[in-house]
Amino acid sequence: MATLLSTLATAGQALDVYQQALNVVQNNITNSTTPGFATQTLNLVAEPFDSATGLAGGVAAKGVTSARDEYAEEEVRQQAQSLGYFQAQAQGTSSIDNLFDVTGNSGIPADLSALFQSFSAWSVSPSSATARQSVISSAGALAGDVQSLANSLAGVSGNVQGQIGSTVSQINQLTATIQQINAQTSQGVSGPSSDALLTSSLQQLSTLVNIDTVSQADGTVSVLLQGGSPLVVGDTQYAISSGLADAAGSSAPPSSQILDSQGHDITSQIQGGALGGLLNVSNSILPSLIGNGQQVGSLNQFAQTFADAVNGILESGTTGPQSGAAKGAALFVYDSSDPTSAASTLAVNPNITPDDLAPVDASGNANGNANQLAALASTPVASAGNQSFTDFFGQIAAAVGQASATAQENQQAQQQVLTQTETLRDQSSGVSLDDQASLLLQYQRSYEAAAQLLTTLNTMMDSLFEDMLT
Amino acid sequence: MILPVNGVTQSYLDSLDRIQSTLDSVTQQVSSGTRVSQPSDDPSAVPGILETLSQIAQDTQTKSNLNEVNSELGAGDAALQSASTALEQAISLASEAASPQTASQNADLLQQAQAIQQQLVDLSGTTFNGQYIFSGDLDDQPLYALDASQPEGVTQLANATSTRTITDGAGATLWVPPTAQEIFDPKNADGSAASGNAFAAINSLVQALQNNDQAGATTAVNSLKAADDYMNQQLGLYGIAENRVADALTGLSSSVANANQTLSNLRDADVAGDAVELTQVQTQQQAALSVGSKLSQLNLFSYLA
Repeated sequence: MATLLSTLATAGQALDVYQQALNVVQNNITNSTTPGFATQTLNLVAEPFDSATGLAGGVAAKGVTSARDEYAEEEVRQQAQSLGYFQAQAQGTSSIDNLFDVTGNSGIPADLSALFQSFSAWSVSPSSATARQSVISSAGALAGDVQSLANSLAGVSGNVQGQIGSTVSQINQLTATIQQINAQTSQGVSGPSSDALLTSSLQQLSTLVNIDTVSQADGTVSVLLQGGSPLVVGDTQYAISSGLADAAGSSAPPSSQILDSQGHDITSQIQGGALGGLLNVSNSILPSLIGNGQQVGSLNQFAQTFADAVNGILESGTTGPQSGAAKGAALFVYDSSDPTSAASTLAVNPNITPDDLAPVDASGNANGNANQLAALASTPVASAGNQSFTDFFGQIAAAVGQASATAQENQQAQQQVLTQTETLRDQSSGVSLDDQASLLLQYQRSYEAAAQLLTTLNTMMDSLFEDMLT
Repeated sequence: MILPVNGVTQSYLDSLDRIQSTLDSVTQQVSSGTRVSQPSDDPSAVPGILETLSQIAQDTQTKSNLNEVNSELGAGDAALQSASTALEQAISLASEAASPQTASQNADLLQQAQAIQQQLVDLSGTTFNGQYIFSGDLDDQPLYALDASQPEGVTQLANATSTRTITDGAGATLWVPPTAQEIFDPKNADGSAASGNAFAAINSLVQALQNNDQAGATTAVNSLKAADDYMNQQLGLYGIAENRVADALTGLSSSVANANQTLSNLRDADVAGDAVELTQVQTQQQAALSVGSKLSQLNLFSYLA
């Protein structure tokens, strides 16, 4: 009787265990598309069985195991971080790339050609008022487009700085979420859903910034920048902020800066994720064109050397061949007090008139200066790096194009790598609906069998009770 | 989540993205005819494209300049031919004046000689596009005016040099326009009229006729012949310059054609190749979409009804 009753209890416990197993399967299925969720398995353990000693055996549930592979998760985070970097870089460089017209129909290359053509036409008719006016008009178009490009690049810089601020906000939101999960974990109230949210948050954070994670003994996860600055430690969040660092003693464009919660500059620690890519565009690629506190910028260098070369020739000559003719006036003006604003301030000398242009060179040749100016179209100029001004601008455009093309190629390649890494991770920890369907069948059958066993035992008990009562 | 197609799905979507990107790029190239619309399309080709475009623009401008110079040379050439014709008429008049003439005949010859003298002065002030082409660097004014009180019958209004250098596209000098001083009024080192001085020659005829000086008229014949010879030499120089300009124009046309070919190689789309690639990519896309539609979206649950 005692054995029959213990068997009955064992069968009842089996029903409970299989109910739990079915619950785990149900949870797996319903979370199959939940970001960060890893398949869970109920551990089934056989209870001791020895009929001689009265051990009834049976099955027991010994906790739930997650299929999460931390190494695979770490690898996914690393690849996500690289993808975030290249995506931000590709987006930023693409905006810059679009500003450079290389069709020859408009923009600076077309303006340069038109100005050189006007110099050339002027060289044939140095005293022609029409030819002189054409020179001034063409110079005005070139200066306008150089200014326009400089201002557009400054606009891109402003957009990128705005994106940096937005990205920093996203980072702080995610680290706040991680901090809350850590707080729940340390209070022992976390569960599988917290684990999924933590994993998902860490992966999202990786796409934004380069991080390292350290799992602590109390189950919390510390998140640090790869340079060492903490973002989350236990239940404490260390929010970061973005700002602009003005160049000391200069009116050069400021650099983007990331500050830790104490206000220390941690920009150098940001080497990955979207924030790293944006900082690369803001502090490296754009300054190479429009300058900052450390460099003049190639577009400014182009504007300054071109204006100086043209002005130098014109100011060395005279406005006419007759003795006593006035010295030539500068065609271009720019803010020479700030080399980083040469492009954005380049303009035609507002006081110049056609009569102020000097076609006569210092030796008295009537069109010597005009010929020299026309020759600038193809003559290498020392101040322009021993290349013509057309080539100088071409090299600037090529460098921009190369940066954009490389970033796009890297983005495409990295997207594939991340997809492969995620696939590998999902193979080990993702929810397979086929597997879950199979387990569902198994547990259902096991539950039915246990229930049948219970029915049989119940029948046996009924028979026993009837025999005892009759 | 692992679904039978899930891991594949992300890769599949990535592949579709790449196919679409290639399709967009090829379509853009075919429709625009150029494979480089922005620097990132082919960064290494950008400097070459811009240099070639600049070269074409400069060569085209130089052609335009030289066509204008050609017209100026034509105007100068025509003026010197007229001057030569006038001098030949003057030689004829001088020959007549070298023999005895009636007063009426002499007056008639004098009138004709003075008209020729005026014509030569006018020719020395020939203009083209509003500029005095024989005035050198002072091309906004004539250099000579008729002045009977002067030894050569003209007064020099200004002393001009000519430093305007006409070059080909490469900077080689094609032409430096001569001044009226050099053409009509060449001088010896001491400032006296040199042999070939047209103004001095015609003025000697005018004076001989005014003085009814037959010997003077005979001397004037020789002076006028020397002046005509000199004028023809100047015409020859114009002819040489016109040939040089014509050669330079031919060279520039060839240069522009070569530069356009270079530009085409650097920038133009390979339309035939692109058309083939377009077909291939479209086929790839259709195949990929077809496969995608046939990938099983079923799992074991589908059969557990």
